[in-house]
Parts: sequence; C-alpha cells; structure tokens
Amino acid sequence: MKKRLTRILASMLAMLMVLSLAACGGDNKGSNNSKPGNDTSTPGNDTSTPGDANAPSDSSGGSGSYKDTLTWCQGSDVTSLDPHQGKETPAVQVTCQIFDTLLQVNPETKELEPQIAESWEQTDDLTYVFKIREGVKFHDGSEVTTADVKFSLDRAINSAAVSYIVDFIESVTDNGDGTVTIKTKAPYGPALRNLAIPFAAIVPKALVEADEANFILNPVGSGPYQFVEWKQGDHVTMKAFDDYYAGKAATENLIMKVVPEAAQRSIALETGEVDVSYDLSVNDIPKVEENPDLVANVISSLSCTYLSFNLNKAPFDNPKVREAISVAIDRQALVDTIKSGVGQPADAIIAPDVFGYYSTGVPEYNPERARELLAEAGYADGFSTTLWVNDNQGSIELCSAIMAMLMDVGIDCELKTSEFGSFISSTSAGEHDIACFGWTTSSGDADYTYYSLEHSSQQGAPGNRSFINDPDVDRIIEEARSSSDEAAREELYKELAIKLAEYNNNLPILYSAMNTGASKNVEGFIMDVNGYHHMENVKVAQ
Amino acid sequence: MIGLAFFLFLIAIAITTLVIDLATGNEFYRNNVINQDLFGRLQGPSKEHLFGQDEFGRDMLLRMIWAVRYSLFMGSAAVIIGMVCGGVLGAMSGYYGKTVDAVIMRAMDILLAIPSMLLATAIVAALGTSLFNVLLAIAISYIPSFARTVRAAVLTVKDQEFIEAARAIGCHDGEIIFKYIIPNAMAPIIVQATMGLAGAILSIAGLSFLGLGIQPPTPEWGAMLSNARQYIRDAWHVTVIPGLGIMLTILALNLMGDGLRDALDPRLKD
Repeated sequence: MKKRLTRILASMLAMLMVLSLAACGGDNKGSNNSKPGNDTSTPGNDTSTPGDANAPSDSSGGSGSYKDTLTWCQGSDVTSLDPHQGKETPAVQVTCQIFDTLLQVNPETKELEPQIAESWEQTDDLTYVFKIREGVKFHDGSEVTTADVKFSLDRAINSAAVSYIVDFIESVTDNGDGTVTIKTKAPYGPALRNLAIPFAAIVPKALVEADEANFILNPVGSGPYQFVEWKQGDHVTMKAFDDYYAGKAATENLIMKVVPEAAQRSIALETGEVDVSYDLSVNDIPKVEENPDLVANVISSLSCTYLSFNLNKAPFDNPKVREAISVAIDRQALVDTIKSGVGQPADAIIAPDVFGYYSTGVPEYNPERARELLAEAGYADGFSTTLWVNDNQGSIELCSAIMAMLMDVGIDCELKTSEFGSFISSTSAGEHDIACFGWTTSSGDADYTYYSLEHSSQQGAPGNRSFINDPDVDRIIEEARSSSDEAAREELYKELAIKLAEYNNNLPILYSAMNTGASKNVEGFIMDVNGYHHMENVKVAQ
Repeated sequence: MIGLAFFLFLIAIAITTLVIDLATGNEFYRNNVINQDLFGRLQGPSKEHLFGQDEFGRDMLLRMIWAVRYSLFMGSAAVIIGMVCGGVLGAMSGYYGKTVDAVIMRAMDILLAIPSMLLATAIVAALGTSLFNVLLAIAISYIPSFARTVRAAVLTVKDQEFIEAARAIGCHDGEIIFKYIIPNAMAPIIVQATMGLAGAILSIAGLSFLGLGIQPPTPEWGAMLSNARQYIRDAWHVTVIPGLGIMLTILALNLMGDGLRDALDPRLKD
C-alpha cells in the first residue's frame, strides 16, 4: 500500500515537471527581432524628437510629482552597443537613446527633421551638403565636429552589419567650414531617409580611435541619455545627459529590462514592475485595455508578412496556381482570429505608411474561384506541397491556419518548420516550395523592399527568394531608384504595384501591428513605426 | 486494477482511432481532428465540444483521443527497442562476466552519466525532428536501465542447478541464455518495461513540448500543451486537459507496474 502511495506521489511529481516546463519554455513570440527576410534585423529610421512640441518642457527630471526613473522591458537583450554593429531592434531600442544621427524622421508626421545636421541641400543629383549644428556635445564634453561625422559615416560604410544602408555613398568630404559633402555613386532617391536610420549614428572619432574595445562596452554618443551600465541578459541603465543640445531629457534615469516571455511582460506591467512594456502578446492586449491603470498602444508597423512562391519549381511557375492560392486565403479571418484583430490584411509587400505604397485592393477570399483556377491549371485534384516557416510560435500559428485554408481547396500542404538561421539559408538556396517571410521597410521608402525582394539581381540571400526575373519589373525598380522626383517615383511604384498584384510571386498576407503597453501615468510616449521608441520626452507621474 | 483498466481503455481508444482512419482513408481525421474553425478558437467546453476548442478552434476531445495512439504506440515502440537491445547486452554481460561484463557495463555507465532527457534532446537535435528520430532517441536512453536490470536477473539465475544441467547435456550459450535464463528472469523485465513506458510517454511529451517531437498539425499531448501555454491566462482548458491526460496516463501505468510487481514477485506477497 505504501509503495502504491509512493507511485502516486511520483506521478504527481511528473505532472509538476510538465507544468514547470510549461512555465519556463521560451516563448518565441517574445523576441521582437526575428523578422525573417530582413535576416535577423529590423533596421529602420531614427525618429528621436528632441524639443518636440509634445514634450512638456519641464525637464528638471524627477522633481515634484514625477518619478526620477523610467523602466521599460523588452523581449531580447542588446546584441551590441556599437551602433554600427547592433542593428537588431532590441539593440537599437537602447542605442537610439545614446546616439544621434544627421537627420531624423518625426514619428508623428514622418517628415525629415534636422538633428546633428542643422540644414542640408542637394546641389546636384549626386551631391548633398550638410551644415553641422554648432555646440552639440558628446557625453565626454567634447564637441561634435565635421571630422566626427566623416569618420562615423566611413565607419558605417565599412561595417559589414550596417553597410547596406549607406553603401550608396561614393565619398564623404569634410569641407573644413562646418559642412560635410556626401557624393553618391548614382542618383539615389531615398538617400536622406537612409541617413536618418539609427545605425548611421554619429560617434566620437577620438574615443573610438583611441580604444575601440572600450568604446563598444562603454558607448559615448551625443544623444539625450548617457550610458551607465549593461548587465548582459538582464538590464541596461542610462542617465540623462545634462548638455543635450535640445534640452535635458524629461526623466533622470532610464532602465531597460530584458523579459523574454511575452506573458511575463504583461504581468510585469500589471504589477507595476515596469512603466512601459514592448511587444505584448496579441491575446494580452484586451487584458491591458480593460485594466483601468494601463494603456495599450497599437500602431500599424512597416512590416508585412507574405508568402513567397519558388518560381523555379512546378507548379508555382504557373500564374493560375499562384492566383488560386491567393484567393484561397482568407486574410481578414487570419487577422480577426490568429492575430486577435490586431493588424490588417495586406495588398502589397510594403505597408501603407511606406513612401510609394499603392493600394491594389486586398484579393477577395473566394475558395470556389480557387478551385476553378486550379482546374484550369490542370490541378483539378489539387497537389501536395510544403510550406516553410521559421520556428517562431506566431509564424507557425499563422501558417497552420493558412495550411488549413489550402487544404480546403484541395492543396495538401505540409508545414516545414526550422530554426531561423537554417530557415534563411535553405530558402536562400531555393529549397522551398512556398515560404512564409516577414519584411520591414525600415527606411520607409519602397525602394528598400522592392529592390531587395523583386529585382532579379537580388536572388537568394539578399532577399529575392521567389526568384522572380522579369525585365519589366527590373526596369521600373531601377528607374524609380535613380529618380529623385517624388511624383514620378510614386507613379512608377503604382505601375509596379499593379504589375506585382497580377504576378503574385509574393502573396502579401497581413501588415502586423506594433504594440506597447504602458502605465496610465506615463506621459509623452510616442511609438516609432520601427520599434525604436525614443524616451527623452517621456515622464511618469508618481 | 484501476491502472490496468485505464491502460486497456487507452489501448482500445488507440486501436479504434487507427481503425477509423484506415476505414475512412483519413477522411474523418481531416474533417474533424485537424479541421480548423478559426472563429471558435479558445471556446470553453460546450455541448458540441465537450472539452472545448483549441487555439485553431479544433475540437479538444477528438484531438485528445487521436493523440493517445502517438503517445502509446511510440512509447511502446521505444520501450521495446530499448528492452531488446538492453536485454541482449545485459544478458551477455551477466552470463559471460569478466571482460565482456566490464566493457558492456562501462559503456552503459557512460550512457547513464548523461541525463536521459538531455541525451534524447541531443540525438533529436543532431538527426533532425521526425517521429523515427524521437523514437530512436528515447529508445537509446532506455538501453542502460534495461541492461542493468537484465544483468542483475541473469546473475541470480545463472548459477542455479538447472543451468548447470543444461550445460551438462551440451546446450550452447545462445540456447541457455534465451531458453533457460531469460524466461526465468522475465518478472523484473516486465515491471521495468511498464514503468519505462510511463517514462517514455513523458519523454515524448517533453520533446514535443520543446518542439523537437511531433510536428503540427498532428495531435500530441506535449505539443498541445506547448502550443496552448501562451493562452493559459485566457483559456484554462487548452492547457489543463492535455496536462490531465498526461498525468492520468502516467499514474495508471505506474499503478499497473506496481500491481505487476506485487503479482510477479513472490517475496512481496504478504
């Protein structure tokens, strides 16, 4: 009898083990840097807004009825504090508080605004002249000079990690009179927006040259906050910089905490452990909204989730098959259910907020039509295929639902999940039939995405994993890229959008939304479309 | 008795689902087990869906039922492979002794030194995720315990007089081991196998939970638990039901193992 009791106890323990596994399993949803297609990174615009009208100018930091410390949590830790290395979103979310760029994009108006550069002009198709603002100081007290600007841009061009956003630059010249001249290799429309991306940050030349290893561990920039401490896998602390050119930041201390599990981030917000929580799980958003002490912010992002057909493989070389699959997917249902109504159905691989977006209309869900098209293409009985996806929980859920929709029209689809790195390398090699990717148009300009995903020179690893090779598409992309006439570019991108909507090599599925949760005491927090939320104007009431 | 009854009940379920699938050519499975109803996702238990619906609106009851056969058949297969390999190694080790014993047992010690779950995870990670690899991984991690059990049993039997008699009339080693020694050492092996089955089912669930086992949309308890865990605050039933399924199965197998031990071991009969 006693032994039986022991057995029962042992079984209880087994149950406990299962439960504790449930509690500590890593939640992929939490990591906000795995946007496939962009190869582990979601780079984008620096959009800090010093001196923004939204910011109450009370910058005494922590005095009176405001807390002197602002704490936020995010899913992953900083990869590198060097702005020319750590281009992953979790890293930029920290480094964009420490470093400034020549220009910035206003998070609300999306317009370019001056930052380190006081003003700029384009003298011809290939030449830009920037006047550097006087009196901007690095955290060590030295002044930001034209030599620092030249050094920083050259350093970014030579960095394998971030070079692709600045490699349109032929040369950077320090004119010696407080201006810097940038010459481009060819006319390049999105040049200014690329310079506003946080990893075109300005770093102090003297410090980096003296001791680069120390600079990477103890970064010094000219941004609103100065670096204090980084405890890997746990937290980063920062302190307001007294001499910031646009006035001292609103809150004295800034703490970033790493909380990998998404559910845990909502709980930390509910218990008041953090003031702001990035990237909540979509099913937690209603809970945050219902809580009178919390506010959920949801904005549309610049990311699109899309399916890519491998055009080198049958039957996807047949446009009818591609169209059939397009109309077999109920995009609205996916948003309403799997994404809990957060996000919106997509009709292009660039999001509506991106320059050059043209709406061709979301393909109508019509399984009858899909079956007809399959029959016309000679697949009346359907066919078997595989759908490749990385092992992010959210992507797997989305693909499982798509799989069921395809099964409904007779396409027998198997899910092939793999770890992010091997997913990227095998799809780059063209091993997939259909694959599910996400892509963020970080520069906010259509060229960033169309060139990488649709131009025939970018097949494989650079991004064109549908292996489209269409001379017309190439021509439009090249023309739009080398023009700086906004109206003409918009017209070209419209033509391209219509063409691609008929081509169906990539099926846009949905635009994901970006979300954060905050305590209702948080004031002045403006979300950035790339997730690089700036904190210098944020304060927390006691 | 309760354990045995529940175990037989599970076997009956597993066989029934297999028959249904074979008879309908997977039609029933497609239309009811993996068919999604996105607008009914995470609905709690109701009249139409006794156990509620999961994160894709699939019926939890049917998924629980269909999952039985993966856990049960894969667990059994893993234990049988482990039992046969371990049994043969253990019998050789116990019967021949000396160098053979030392070599085999030290090899088993090496395997035992690595936690079985870690070993299984490493094997699956190296060979890739598939049903067969999971099975193989768990089977390998079971070899040492069977080898030890069988070796101990063989040692107690091999010096008895009937073995000496068998050798005297000219039986060769294979015959002695398989015809005379193993049948007399069966009791501890059976008990070990029953207990091992419980552990194997738990390991399969664990590996699937970690995403290394059975791939979606195939229903499996561990995978169901893993996919549901992010909804634990919204819908209790999606995690509690597969959790209870695993717990009851393990409990039943352990009770059955105890019962078998009591029945087979004369020394414990009081």
